[in-house]
Amino acid sequence: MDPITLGYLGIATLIVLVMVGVPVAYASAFTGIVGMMVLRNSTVAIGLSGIIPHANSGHYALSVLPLFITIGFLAMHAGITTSAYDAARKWVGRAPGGLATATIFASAGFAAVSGASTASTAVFTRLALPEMEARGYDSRLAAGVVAVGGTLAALIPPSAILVIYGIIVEQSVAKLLLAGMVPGIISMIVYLLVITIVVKINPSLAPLEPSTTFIEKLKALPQVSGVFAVVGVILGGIYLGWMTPTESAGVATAIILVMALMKRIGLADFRNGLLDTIRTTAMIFMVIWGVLIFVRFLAFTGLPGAVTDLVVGLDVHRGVILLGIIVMYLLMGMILDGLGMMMLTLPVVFPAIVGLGYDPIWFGILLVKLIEIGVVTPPVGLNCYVVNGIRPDIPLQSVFRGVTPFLIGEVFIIGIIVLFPDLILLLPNMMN
Amino acid sequence: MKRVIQTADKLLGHIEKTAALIAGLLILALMTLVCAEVLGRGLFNHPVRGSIDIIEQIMVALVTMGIAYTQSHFGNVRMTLISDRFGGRKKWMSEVFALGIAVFVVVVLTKGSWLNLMRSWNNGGDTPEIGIPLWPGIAIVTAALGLLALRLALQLLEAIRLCAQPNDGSKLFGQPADAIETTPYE
Repeated sequence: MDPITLGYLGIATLIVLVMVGVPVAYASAFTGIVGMMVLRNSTVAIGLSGIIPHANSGHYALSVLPLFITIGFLAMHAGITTSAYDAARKWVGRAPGGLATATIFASAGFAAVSGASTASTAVFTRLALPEMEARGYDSRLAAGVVAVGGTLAALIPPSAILVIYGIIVEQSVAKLLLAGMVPGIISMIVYLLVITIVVKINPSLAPLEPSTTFIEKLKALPQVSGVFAVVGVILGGIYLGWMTPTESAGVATAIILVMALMKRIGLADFRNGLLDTIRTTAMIFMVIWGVLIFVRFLAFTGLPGAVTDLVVGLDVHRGVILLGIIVMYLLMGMILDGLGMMMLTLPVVFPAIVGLGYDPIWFGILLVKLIEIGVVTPPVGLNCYVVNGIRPDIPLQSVFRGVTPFLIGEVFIIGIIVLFPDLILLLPNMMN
Repeated sequence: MKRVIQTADKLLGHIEKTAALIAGLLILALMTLVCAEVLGRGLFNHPVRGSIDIIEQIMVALVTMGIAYTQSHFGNVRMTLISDRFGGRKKWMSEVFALGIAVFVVVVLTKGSWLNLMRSWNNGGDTPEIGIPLWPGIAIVTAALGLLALRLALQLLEAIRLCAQPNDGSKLFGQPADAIETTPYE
């Protein structure tokens, strides 16, 4: 069998294994190892794959990941979520759909200290959803808001998935993190517009909040100083070139740790938080190992190069190919987990994208946005699962229906990202 | 059989949790080192010597020492859209299949890592700036992969047992749902 056919066969095998429930890490490593055994021999397969866990864990650029994850869990215990929500509520509670609007603002604030969209959704399902329901909000709207608000965490720095993208395709993590800021804010504004429109059309979905005085508003601000500190350290440090992403993450972790200690975080909470962080870290790295083993095999087959030649040689405008890729990701996002989907497709898709002349940093942002749409679309939408997991009384269908108006907004956001790449690349291009 | 598996589970569980807690403490070490580097460079114009070397070695231990613990909590990303529809014996057969593949992969990786360890032990090899030898890191990776292989083998054994007795309860497959908030990370 010629190597390229074997490459296609490998991809098909991998898809089948993932579909029948083999974890992504094991499925990709298995396909890679067996593929190398067939293409070369078992000595090469064992030798090459055996180096990967060591070589790809002791990696300076990847050390930012456990730190980002730690910041996310400490932020909850440092009371940042509660105070962000409280402050947002006092400032924007009077707007149409006030509490929903406040939830989006607070999600954006939490996103600035956390890189995980599911974690953010989990927090606000516990915190904001009951408040909205108590005020007579439509539970579908409320559930949709917390599910969608969570996705902001993946774009607004620190973002774990952007770091992983940067490592896999060997692009500057610092630039990627900065590039996430503008589309993160655009997404937030679009979500706010969606809420306003939905509530204007049907005001009974969200009753008005009582007003607060300006003094009350001002008093709420110092509570969110932690958010500003972390944003300042991470963005400022990287932007000005004072610190590497790892260093800014380390300093931000220390700040949040001090805040959590001041709030007297319990020893058991702290220990469980560390164990959670380790679990998430190990999970991410195992997927990285598995996919890198698979990538080694693909490189032997020459398939990525062949696909790139094929795609670049197509006699259509590159925009059409990009549209095809976007649709492909939206469809895959419906059934695949985002991290796995990204890692499994990048080895083939990324060279083609670069071959077509698209900017790698810009594509990272587009890809993460597409993945985040995947986490709120049925049948497999992790953020919606999280809402339903914590609140089994709100059926999954209701959560998905609550998300639907936001999906129209997402199409609009994708349009902005595709049509105005310069806007997305504004911050990274200005970087010191 | 059930009792043997449960005893082994307990024993492995202790080792896994201890290893994971050490890994957790290493995060704090990483944080401290990075802050010292920033302060040292910013305030005293005196960066920590070899900090990148040390960070990379910490990362090796931090990442790998948690892998068996993660597997014991079924913390690896997977797609369960199809397997969720199975019940009883079919469900356990699909688990046997998935775990069989996992055992194969991890045994190969452990063997490969062991060979890597032997090479590094015999030929030397160290970090660029302050010359930390590489073999202790590789030894940790090999041991961690070995522990993961044991955990997976135990889970495989339990899944096979449940194929035979699909209605029996299982401590090992106790609460796979408890990971829902923390595992899918994006």
